[in-house]
Amino acid sequence: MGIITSHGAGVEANWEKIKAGESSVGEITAFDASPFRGRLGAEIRGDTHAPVSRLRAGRLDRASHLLIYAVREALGLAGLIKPGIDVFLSLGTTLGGMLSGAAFHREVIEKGISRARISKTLDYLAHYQALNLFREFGLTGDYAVFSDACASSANAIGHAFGLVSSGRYDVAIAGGYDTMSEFTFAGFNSLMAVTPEICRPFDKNRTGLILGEGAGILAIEELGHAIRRNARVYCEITGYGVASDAYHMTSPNPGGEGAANAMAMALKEAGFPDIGYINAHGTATKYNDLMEARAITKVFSSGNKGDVDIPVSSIKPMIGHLLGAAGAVEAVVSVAALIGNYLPANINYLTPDPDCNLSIVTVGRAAEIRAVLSNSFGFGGSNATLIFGEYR
Amino acid sequence: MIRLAVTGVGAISPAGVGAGALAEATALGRRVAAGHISETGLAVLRKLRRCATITSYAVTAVDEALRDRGAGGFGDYALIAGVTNGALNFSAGFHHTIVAEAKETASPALFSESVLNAPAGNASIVFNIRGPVHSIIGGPSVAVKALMLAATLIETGRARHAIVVCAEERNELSSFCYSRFNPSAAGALSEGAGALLIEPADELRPINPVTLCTISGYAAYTIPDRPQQALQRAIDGALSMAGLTVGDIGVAVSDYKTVQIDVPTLSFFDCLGYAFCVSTMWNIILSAMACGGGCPINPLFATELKKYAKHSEINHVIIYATEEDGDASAVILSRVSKP
Repeated sequence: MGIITSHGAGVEANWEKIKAGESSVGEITAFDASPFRGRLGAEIRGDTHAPVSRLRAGRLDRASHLLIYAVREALGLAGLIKPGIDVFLSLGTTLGGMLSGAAFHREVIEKGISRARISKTLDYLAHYQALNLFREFGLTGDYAVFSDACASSANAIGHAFGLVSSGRYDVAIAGGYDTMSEFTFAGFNSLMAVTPEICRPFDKNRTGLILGEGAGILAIEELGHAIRRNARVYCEITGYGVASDAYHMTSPNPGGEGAANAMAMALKEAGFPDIGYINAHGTATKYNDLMEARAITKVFSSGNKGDVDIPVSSIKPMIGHLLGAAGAVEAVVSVAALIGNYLPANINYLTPDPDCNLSIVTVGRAAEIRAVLSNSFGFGGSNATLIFGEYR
Repeated sequence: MIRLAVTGVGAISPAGVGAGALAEATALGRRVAAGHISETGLAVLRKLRRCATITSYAVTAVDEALRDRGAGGFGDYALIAGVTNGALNFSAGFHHTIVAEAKETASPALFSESVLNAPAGNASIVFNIRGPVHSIIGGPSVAVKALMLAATLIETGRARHAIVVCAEERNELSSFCYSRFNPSAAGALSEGAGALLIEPADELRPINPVTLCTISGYAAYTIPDRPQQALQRAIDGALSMAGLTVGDIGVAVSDYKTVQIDVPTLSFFDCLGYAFCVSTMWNIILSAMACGGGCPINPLFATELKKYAKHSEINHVIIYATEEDGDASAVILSRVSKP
């Protein structure tokens, strides 16, 4: 596993802060956020230039740097820095190299198109970052870059899981990445989705999301292949579900049918395991959280009100909503929760919402966890669910 | 491997609306003007008044590809969109507001319709597709990758049928960058969409199933900056999956300038221009239609094939794509014997 977020670089650093319930949300520094309703974000501070040996660092978008950080950690921990076999690279992103594209477009606006530096577009398109990974790590094989809004990297992991479990590849590198950009910040502000205060998923007084940035990567390997080379097995991926709302581009289906279908599909594939923790999408927007609560209730309730006692939390108040990277980063945290037997807190939660009648984890605590379910939902009605089970 | 069939196609291009217009233009060897397509003629687009041009193209192509299946009933379908640039006009418009006007006045509609999955998301809404809906990003090879993803979803039981669509729209910025990176092809940039309906060949429902061809093999491979090596691996992989040799292939279709295998190779670049991943999808659609003609020499390819001696029996067509970055893919379509 590999991860970089506003909490820092590395699985350990992130997990320690998540266990402690820390928030790394602060005033946006990447651009002038003062005209916007919400001005907070979860940025990665300090130098984010990843050490590269085969690429020209100055030509890389910030997205590539974050991705290289996470991939290097994941391959290092997996002992796969030089895989030596064909791999499938499965990534999710909403923006790709948007910062480079925006910089180019700004020059077009300010200087005219003929004077804008075309070199700024070299890492703009969303599949260029994947190709950069092939170059930097000497990979061969195939890749796919999913852009399914905020479900992008959950779908990327799910697809990689399918390819490995069906025997097409022994090893897949899967995850996602996104950067803090003025473009999306303005976009979510225009939709009135960004909170002007703190982010409090499932709280009755929730007022919106906080954007973040980062990357998360899983090295997914066929179990026998991993055992034969004495790799450390963190967990098993046991289920993946995907379904669409077919309802609205930006609003989720209020009844949560699509989300419930995704969860049901994943649970069926996993053999209906005993879910010990639900890592919720939990953006803290009014409509997402209501929809997700209804969907979880639909899937797990036996019909009696308030009978869903599976612990639920969203980590977005700590590290923000990472858009296309959210599913991957939350997958890493879900796996950490599973192997650490610890429930991360849904920080900032104060006032229960009777319409979101879930068992919210208000304070992080130890718990015996056999399986974790992680949800990701996005624009366009994308719904994806991953299930991770303990490796025994 | 489940045997998959292509049972519907749809297209919109500078040649006009419909796969028929695409086929007619290429069969005649007519060069159609690369440019903006002003009218799709699709009534359903009235529901999508504020959508981006790329979305209207995608929905138009999907509508045509699904038409043979009858109205509604697409709940168990998957929809996979291949995209290279996305809704660049909306993205540029939204960004212009941020940079040159008041940031806080940026339009939410421009933003939500500029996201890379807007064409797929809107198409899923219009056609009530509730299965997996994905957008995957890439260059010309992503059309085959989208088809491969659809095939995987069907094989793993996550969907029973799949619609695969690629769409692009022309934009001042992409035209400028393309002409700078490809000076010899300046002015050739095109736009539009192409869609394929694929489903298990052995489970076709008796609702006017028009099986154009089967999908015999496919593969994608990446070797950074070594396009020919990557392409050879992709072609070899597709042939291996199909259980065929190069000698079985009647014709190859590709816009890649270097001929990769020793069979007659066609390109419709001069006719249709270059529309990134959509060009590859158009090549697949034209090949599927050629296979579906069911005659030894399909008029679709006849004009170009006159210069080749060995064209009397085309049972298998390979379509391949790559770019200088070393990202390659190939798919083989096979003719179905009609009863």
